[in-house]
Amino acid sequence: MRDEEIIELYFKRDERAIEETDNKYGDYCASIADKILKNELDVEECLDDTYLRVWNVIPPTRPEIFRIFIGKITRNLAFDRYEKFHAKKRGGGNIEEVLDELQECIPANHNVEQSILANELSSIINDFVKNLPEKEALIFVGRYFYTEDISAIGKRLGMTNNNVSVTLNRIRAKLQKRLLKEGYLAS
Amino acid sequence: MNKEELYKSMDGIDDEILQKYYEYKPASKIINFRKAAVIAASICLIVVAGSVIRMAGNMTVEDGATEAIEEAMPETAAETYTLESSPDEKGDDMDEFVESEPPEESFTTKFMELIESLIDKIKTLLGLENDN
Repeated sequence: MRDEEIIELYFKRDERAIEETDNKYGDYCASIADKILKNELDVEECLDDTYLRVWNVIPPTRPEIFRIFIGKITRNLAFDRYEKFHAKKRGGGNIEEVLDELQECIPANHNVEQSILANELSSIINDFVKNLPEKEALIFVGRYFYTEDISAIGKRLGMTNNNVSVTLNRIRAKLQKRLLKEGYLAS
Repeated sequence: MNKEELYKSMDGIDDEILQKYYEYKPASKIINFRKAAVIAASICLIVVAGSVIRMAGNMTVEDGATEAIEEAMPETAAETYTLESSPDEKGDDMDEFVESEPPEESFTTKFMELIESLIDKIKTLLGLENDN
């Protein structure tokens, strides 16, 4: 079933919408959640939460790209769940590495207090990614949005693991400069 | 700001860029596909050309067997004529041989030219001439 048809089912409040969403995007959402949670039961619960959230926001929202829309919801819910239940356990997986790498991007200055608006930060990140060369933008997105491991990114983009790692280092340095310029400092 | 907030802020990245990541196909894969397609097309053309040339060769042997033997071994052919044909018949045959031209040779040459031009066209269409 096409995305437009699935969205129409949501607008008609037809429960088949959830079934069709699961058929088409169940594996995709599960892979996003799995990279963050690394636990089958948590992933299943996260998917249930995702479908419920989608059911609640459509209508009135009409997503332009349904795949990305549902992917973002899954990612947010999975990360919330990770923070709530797993932050203290630190059981490995991509998310730990990704978060540690992101820590490098945050300019360290504990003397200055900063109030950070999440929306503002999001728009800075978006602007930063838009201004990267296409391949670098894709590597960045693969690592820090989709939480994929280096080898998966390399395989998808036709690059060696070393090449991906080196590029990521360079992007993180650029991001740190940008965040410093924008006045974002470590809290 | 902490790393968790930074991770969450990736949510603001445009949908188009996120979608592009899923749709991305490395250029090397496309070039490999093009090369494979050209190789496959070339093999097909060679097989077809080989079959046609073989068919044309068979026709030459069947239709012009006498001429071929005479061209290859004129002395043996002359002996054969002496033994098997009357002087008048031999004269007629020799006249025919002198007058006739080998049409199959020009057909084969033309066909090979056609095949070569087809291969060139396929290469141009797939843009491989610039790649190599």
